[in-house]
Amino acid sequence: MKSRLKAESGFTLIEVVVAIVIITALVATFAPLIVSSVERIQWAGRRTQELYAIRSAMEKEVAAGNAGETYSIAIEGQAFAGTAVGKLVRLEEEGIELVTFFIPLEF
Amino acid sequence: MRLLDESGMMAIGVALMLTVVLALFGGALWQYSMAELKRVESTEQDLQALFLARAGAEMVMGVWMDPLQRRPAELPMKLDPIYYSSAAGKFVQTEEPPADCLGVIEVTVKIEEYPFEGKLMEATVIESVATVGSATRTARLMTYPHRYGHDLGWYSDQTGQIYQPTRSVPGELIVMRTDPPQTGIHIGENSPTGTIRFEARHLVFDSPLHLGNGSSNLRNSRSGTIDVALMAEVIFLDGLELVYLPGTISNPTKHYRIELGLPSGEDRGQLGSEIKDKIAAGSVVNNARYGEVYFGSGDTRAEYYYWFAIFEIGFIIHDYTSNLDLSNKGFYFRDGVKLDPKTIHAHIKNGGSIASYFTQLANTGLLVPILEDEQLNREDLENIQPFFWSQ
Repeated sequence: MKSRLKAESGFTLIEVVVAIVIITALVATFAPLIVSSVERIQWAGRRTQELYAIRSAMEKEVAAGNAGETYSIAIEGQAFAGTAVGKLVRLEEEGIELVTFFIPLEF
Repeated sequence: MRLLDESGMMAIGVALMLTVVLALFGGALWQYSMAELKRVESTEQDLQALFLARAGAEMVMGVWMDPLQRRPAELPMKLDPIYYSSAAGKFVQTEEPPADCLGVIEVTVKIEEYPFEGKLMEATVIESVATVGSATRTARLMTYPHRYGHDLGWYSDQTGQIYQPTRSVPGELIVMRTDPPQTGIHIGENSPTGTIRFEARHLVFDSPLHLGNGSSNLRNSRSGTIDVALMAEVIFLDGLELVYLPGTISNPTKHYRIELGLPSGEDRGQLGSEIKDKIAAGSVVNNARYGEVYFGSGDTRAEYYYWFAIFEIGFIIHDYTSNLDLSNKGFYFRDGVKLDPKTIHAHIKNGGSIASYFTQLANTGLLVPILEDEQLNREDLENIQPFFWSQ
């Protein structure tokens, strides 16, 4: 038993300390990159959810038929001109602006 | 001299491997997160572009569907770009985009062919392309063939018999056609009683509206006074038959008339004050609302019958026909006016004539002839087709 212990080799204290220092330096170098990347990925996930919600809100506004302010716009083109009257819906939420115009159905 | 022994080399190797692994992991994560950021930014712009594209298509449809607006003689037609100014909160058509422009919409109106029921049909397509940043979305509105009254179950296209008491599609142009087309649309044994109503934006009868459809049909058809109410801004009829069969003690009355009305909703038809310069005779009531009715080349008549009874068995005998002389004429009708064979009969019995009856209607502002230059034709109407989103 005694002879077996003597035969085993191991790390010296200095080697272990140096290893810890190297690993710490590496982690310290890459940690901000990794943390900020993970935060961005998490933010992108939340933002996607918000965009779905705002799109859904916009679709509901349009489906409501009479939502939005009454709006008229003059249109011009090649030998074509006239005024369209309908509803303007603007939604500004979570830092995004959505705009549309629709003519309410008469059914 | 060896600076490092074997275990020292291993330690350096492990440290290098760790560096590489961490660098690769960190780099991949960074790249993925940047891709996610771009995807979100692109989704935002895509969403904005989608709603702007839809707005562009609806705007042009609004103008296109208005029969009073000027349309181009030739297609395709490209409109000037439309911008949305975030600060002003409105759409603008300027040569240069405004400083705070959310996006630009470019709309083209064109004709496309597509197969329908074995034929190649021409459809008008409004294609709206909106660009926000690097995102582009397209919205397309497309016309489709007019629907038929029998698609809506109002009558059978095989027999012509009216089945449903009411149908309402106030935004559409509906065509009434039987197969074969000369089969009259009529009141039959299984038709509703009271008021039978069909409401659409415009109504075009390709087949005659023969309410009685001959004495053999009349024998079994519904009894009582039945009003067929056609509620539309513009009505094209091609052949009309009204019926009056007065009842006896043992046999019922069969009194079929039509009512011309405007579809439900505000600002339907035109005010009398708007059309007073477009009438050929008579007068209009300035604050009353009017629609238009046109009679094609098919004959327009009122049929009169009477009951002849032998031992309590009634036979329907044709009495006489009044030619209403409305063929190839166009009129403004006041909302709710009725063409009633019983009233016409009474007018004639009192010494009047068909001509004097309709003069009386014109003078009281109920059914007023339209100046020839102001009359619509069917082709004008057929251009006013509804649109649907095609993608």
